[in-house]
Amino acid sequence: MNALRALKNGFLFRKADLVAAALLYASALLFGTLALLPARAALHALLDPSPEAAKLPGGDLGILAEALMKAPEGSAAAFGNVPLLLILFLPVALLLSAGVYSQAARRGEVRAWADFWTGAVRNFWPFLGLVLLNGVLFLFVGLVPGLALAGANHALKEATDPAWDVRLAWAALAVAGLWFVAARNGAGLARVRRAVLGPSEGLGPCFLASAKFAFRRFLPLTLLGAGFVAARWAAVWAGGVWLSAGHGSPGRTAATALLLQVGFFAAAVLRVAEARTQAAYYGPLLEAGRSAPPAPVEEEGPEAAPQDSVSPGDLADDTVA
Amino acid sequence: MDLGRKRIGSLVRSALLGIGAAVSVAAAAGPPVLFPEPLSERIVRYDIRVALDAEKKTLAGEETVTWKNATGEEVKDAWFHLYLNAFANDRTVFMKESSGAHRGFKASEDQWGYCRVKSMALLGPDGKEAALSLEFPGEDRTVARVSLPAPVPPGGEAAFRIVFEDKLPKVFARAGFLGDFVMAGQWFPKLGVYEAGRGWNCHPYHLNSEFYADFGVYDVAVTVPTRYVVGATGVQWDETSDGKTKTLRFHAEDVHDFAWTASPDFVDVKEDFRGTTIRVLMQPGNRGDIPRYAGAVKAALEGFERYLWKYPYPVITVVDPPRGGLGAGGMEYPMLITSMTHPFVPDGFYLPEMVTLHEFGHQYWYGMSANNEFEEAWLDEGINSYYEMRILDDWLGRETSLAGNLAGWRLGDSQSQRLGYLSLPDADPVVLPSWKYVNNHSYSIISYNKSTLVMAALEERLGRDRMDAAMKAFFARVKFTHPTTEDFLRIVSQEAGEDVRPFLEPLLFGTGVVDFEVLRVRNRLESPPKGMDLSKDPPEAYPTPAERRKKGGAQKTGAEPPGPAEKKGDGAADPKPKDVWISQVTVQRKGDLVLPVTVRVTFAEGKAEDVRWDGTGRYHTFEFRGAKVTRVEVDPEGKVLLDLDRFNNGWMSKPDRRPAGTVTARLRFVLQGLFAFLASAI
Repeated sequence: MNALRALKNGFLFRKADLVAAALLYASALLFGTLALLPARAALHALLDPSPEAAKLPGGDLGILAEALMKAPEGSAAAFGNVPLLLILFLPVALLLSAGVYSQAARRGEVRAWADFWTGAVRNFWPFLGLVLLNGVLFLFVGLVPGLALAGANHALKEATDPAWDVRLAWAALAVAGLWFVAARNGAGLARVRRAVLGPSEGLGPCFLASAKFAFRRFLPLTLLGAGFVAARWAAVWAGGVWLSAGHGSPGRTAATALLLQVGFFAAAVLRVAEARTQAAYYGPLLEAGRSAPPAPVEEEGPEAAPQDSVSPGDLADDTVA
Repeated sequence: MDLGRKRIGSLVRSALLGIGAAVSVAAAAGPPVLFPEPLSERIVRYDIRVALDAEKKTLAGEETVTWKNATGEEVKDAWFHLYLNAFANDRTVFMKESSGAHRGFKASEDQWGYCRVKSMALLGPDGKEAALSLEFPGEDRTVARVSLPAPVPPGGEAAFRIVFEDKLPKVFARAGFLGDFVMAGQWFPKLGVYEAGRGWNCHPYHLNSEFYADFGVYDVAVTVPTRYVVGATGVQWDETSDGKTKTLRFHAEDVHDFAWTASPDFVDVKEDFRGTTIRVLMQPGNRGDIPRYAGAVKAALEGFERYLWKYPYPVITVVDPPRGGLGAGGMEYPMLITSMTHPFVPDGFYLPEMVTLHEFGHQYWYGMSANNEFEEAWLDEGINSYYEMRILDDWLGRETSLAGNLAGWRLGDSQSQRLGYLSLPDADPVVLPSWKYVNNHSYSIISYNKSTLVMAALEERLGRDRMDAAMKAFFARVKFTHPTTEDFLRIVSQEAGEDVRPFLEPLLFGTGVVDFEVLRVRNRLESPPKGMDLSKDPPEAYPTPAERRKKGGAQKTGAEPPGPAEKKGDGAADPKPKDVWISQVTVQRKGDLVLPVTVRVTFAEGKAEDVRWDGTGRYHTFEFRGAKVTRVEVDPEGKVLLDLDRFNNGWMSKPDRRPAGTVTARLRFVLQGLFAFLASAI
């Protein structure tokens, strides 16, 4: 029930949350466009004068491959800036996520721009530390199922039925999915904890306490996380599927391009909702634990604390002394 | 497109022991007679008994080989292939050429293979045996030679009794075992081909070539544990069992090889189609793709009958190799082929169909038209790939014959062949012994892809009807013989009614390439003459524009000289329709290959006109009078598959930004998605 309540609260957006989602969306749009510019110019130079290129909108893979084969150097030039942009995007993404989590952890109305950036700047370095700690932890955690899968693959080396490949693939997908969701939850909850409790707690204890909480609430948190990941992929994929079939006319091209952007924006909204849901799930417990003795929490806007979520056990395990 | 999924029920229902309706089998009566009138000269006869030791992965075999000397020469020795010795160690020709890997599969370090001849004897007419000793004249032991005590006279026969033992390698290339799966290809001592004037043609087992043998009759008894399902060349006419093992007897006529496979896991289904039994031996995990294999065989049976000849044998068996054993996939043997699929292969990607159809096609090109693959592989791989392309296109559509819908993308077999060719178009000529190509990739590209495109070029030159008639006649004349490239050139020239050598020889024996390009397009308004008209006596000055205007009143005649923008002909303001334009279209041919090509010219009014250039000379200029030329396409239907660059084949007065826009939109999806993922993942 706590999870459902947190989910509900997570979607009760304030204006500032929509702005945060817009920032996330705009950053991907901007960097995606920058990455696309050289390729776009190269494609127009190659294809615009050629009647042969008319087959491309119909999805002729051969013509596409031939265009790529024709000028490998050109392809390198067209896509050569992508790695650099990816590296440049990492701090931007971290800054934005710091803003999103800082804002999500705050109750009541917030100032759309000022509070977002204030939180982003304040929490940038701590969040970077938490993300790195989380990455290291899950790298090691991931070794276990990874080795198990590799072992299974080795044990099945002599298996001749191709159905084993399907079973292995499903197992790998399930393990990877679970690992990914758990890692996301770990990082998210640590940031919520830091945003709520501030610098009074060191990064290490903060990370360990939130990881412990994530482990204890593994099932609801995993379900929530998996739901958000699936919803985001669905939003983007819906645009992608439409895109692949939507170039019969200039009108359809524009419509499908618009739909794709709607899909990306929906994904950004879901990302903010995910951070808000994590904050709504974990934040009240932290706040309750910070004030001793725990007092009943007043219903306060969309981020109302789940009243029944505060228990002595939660306080003992999940709050700082 | 019907891949025959609904026919699975009938396939399973018809899964009974026995063979096609075309063959009447009575075990007590001995092997059936498949062809009362022999289809081939039947130079050899093999009687073989072989037993599988399923634990040791060995074959214990005995064979009696009878060879007829059909030449006018006395023959003093005999040469045998011992193919499995290619897998004996890392010093064999095959292993050195392949570096111990084939199609991404590596040779096992502890499961080598070999064919050991325990004894060989010449059978005398009185039944006595004269022992023969083997020599190994080549670089490895895949070829053995025996000297005969007395020459075999022209028209005479020699019979050999051979006891042999095979150790199957762990399969990574064509033959071997994997778990309980056995693919026995090239597994018995097999005679080379004696060629009059040249002697025995018996090459070692090379990485890229292995087939060249005489036609004959095979009677083979295969003994395996009772739980095994067996498929083989020929028709099964008898089965006996002692409780632990069973012996299956197979009989084949007018073939030049015999292969068999066995596995306890095979899902065994049969279906009769147009008088032929289609048998599919499938891995359990791939059973959903049985209709894909069967559908491809049906399309092939129909297609090859339409283009060449009705498949004469009563049965065709398709073998699905197991997981990890795809090195045995995509192979051809008489009446038995191996294909490949996997549960991950999507329905819209026709790899199983393509492989199955290709291998079936080898029943014609390799099987019946049995060229020397060692020396002229294009005659089987190339011509067969051409028919693969033709029949797949007929069946699945030219632009979708390899991929119908892969996330919105499609690919035709012809385009796939072309892409392969473009990756290495000129490293080697087509006609070349397989081991002389610069590398394995070149062999594949030239023998398969370029050869296909050469055949397509011949079709473009002759026209489809003449091409089909000539090839049908060629096949009719060479089937059940060993045709050569020279035969091909001679017979196709005769049947097509023109000497195709000047056209084909540069394509087959050279490494030249071709690239057509629209070099220049000029549009100019037709203008009246200026200066002196010498047809008048005395010469008169042509009228000036002012004089013409005065004469013609205020109405514009279209004879005005063009303004500067109009002279450029592109992007200029269009004159009124009655204006007459003189347009020159210059097409260039780069490279040394001379190929004919169609040029499609589209005019401002929307009308299009096709003109033909025979390709001689470096360039050719077409001139048109009338409406302004707005678009030029060289080879508009994409028939000159050998053209190295199709993006320079056209010209448009107004560039079309839509194709690049579409691709850009798809790329945006990928790139923006990448950054969106990062933004949410951190």
